[in-house]
Amino acid sequence: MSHHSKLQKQVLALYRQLLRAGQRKPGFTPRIRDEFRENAQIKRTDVMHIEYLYRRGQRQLEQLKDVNTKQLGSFSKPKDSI
Amino acid sequence: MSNAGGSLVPPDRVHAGIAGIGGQKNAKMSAAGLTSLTRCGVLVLRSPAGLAVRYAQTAAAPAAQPRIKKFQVYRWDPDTPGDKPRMQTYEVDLNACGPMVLDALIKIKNEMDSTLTFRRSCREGICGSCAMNINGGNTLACLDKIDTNLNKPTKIYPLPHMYVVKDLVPDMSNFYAQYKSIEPYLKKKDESREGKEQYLQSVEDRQKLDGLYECILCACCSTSCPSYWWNADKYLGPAVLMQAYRWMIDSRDDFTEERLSKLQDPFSLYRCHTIMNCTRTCPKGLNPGKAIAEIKKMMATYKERKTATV
Repeated sequence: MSHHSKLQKQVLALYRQLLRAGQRKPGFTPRIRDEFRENAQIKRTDVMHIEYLYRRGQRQLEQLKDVNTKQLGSFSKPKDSI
Repeated sequence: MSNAGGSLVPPDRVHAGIAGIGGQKNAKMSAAGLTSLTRCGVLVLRSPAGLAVRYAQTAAAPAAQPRIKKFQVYRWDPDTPGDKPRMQTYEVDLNACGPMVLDALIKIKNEMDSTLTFRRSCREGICGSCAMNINGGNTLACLDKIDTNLNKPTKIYPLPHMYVVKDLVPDMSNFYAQYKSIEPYLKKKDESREGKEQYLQSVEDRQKLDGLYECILCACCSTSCPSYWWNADKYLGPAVLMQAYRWMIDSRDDFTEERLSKLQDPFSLYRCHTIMNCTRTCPKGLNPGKAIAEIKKMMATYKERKTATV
């Protein structure tokens, strides 16, 4: 497999940091995984979009690391409903 | 002249108002009635006559020509895949819109394009939310009057050299983190008196804070400074430095030396090269450039004291 680009390495590092920070707190890990899986389809060339999401992820990492953040809940559409 | 509700009006003014409509019959009668009333100085509301006058006046006002002004607004929605930053032009009738740029933006959002995104709160220039770059200068949208020249479009951009979250919304987290780093609160060496009574301050000492405490942290000045554009990570910027100065010269604060020593590195303060864009663009009329110059003076004497003791 070819080497990761610098941006790819940054995104992977952010993913690792987010997962580690959300380990002890309920509800974060599945959300982080879903969000990254969904955005994995973005093309490598769309650097602007990737950088925007990276900055957004960093801000959310700061919020996650905060001691006062306890857990995360989310609404999701069930797959079989219209 | 909507004073048919019974206020004292000089008789010639009443005549002028009624004559201007071209003399409808009931208007003439009410004119006679009103003039006799105003001569007596009696504030009696005769509703039928008064209402007839009001209706006549409003019906006669000619339909004004719509004054169409073009607004070119920076748009970018990162949530739609593949979207690139672009300029979108909106046309607003100035006769149906308030005088400020924020009024136009709200009108566009309400009536034309509800996806337009911008920050706003007080609409009176005190909260600092609506800071943006209008026609090349950073100001608050709620304080910037729309230029009534219909030949030139108004160009609206987000604050320059800031990461954009969406449309006109910049990412202010770096700015706020820098403000937090200067510890913008009162620090005393002896905390035993805390909460017991007021810390007193002379009138002269309080006057030193005038022109510094009014800062609303809108970030217009910092984002107009080219030095801040190139070194936003390490240079604090005029807004934050002015607040640092505000706490240094507050006579109630005991940690002046420590606050000065915190700025003792080549980047935090000394990236300022007195470009003075900050003072020029401040929407509240404050002078951050002067505050930074005062800090530099204080730093010079602090350095002398430090080398003297060493």
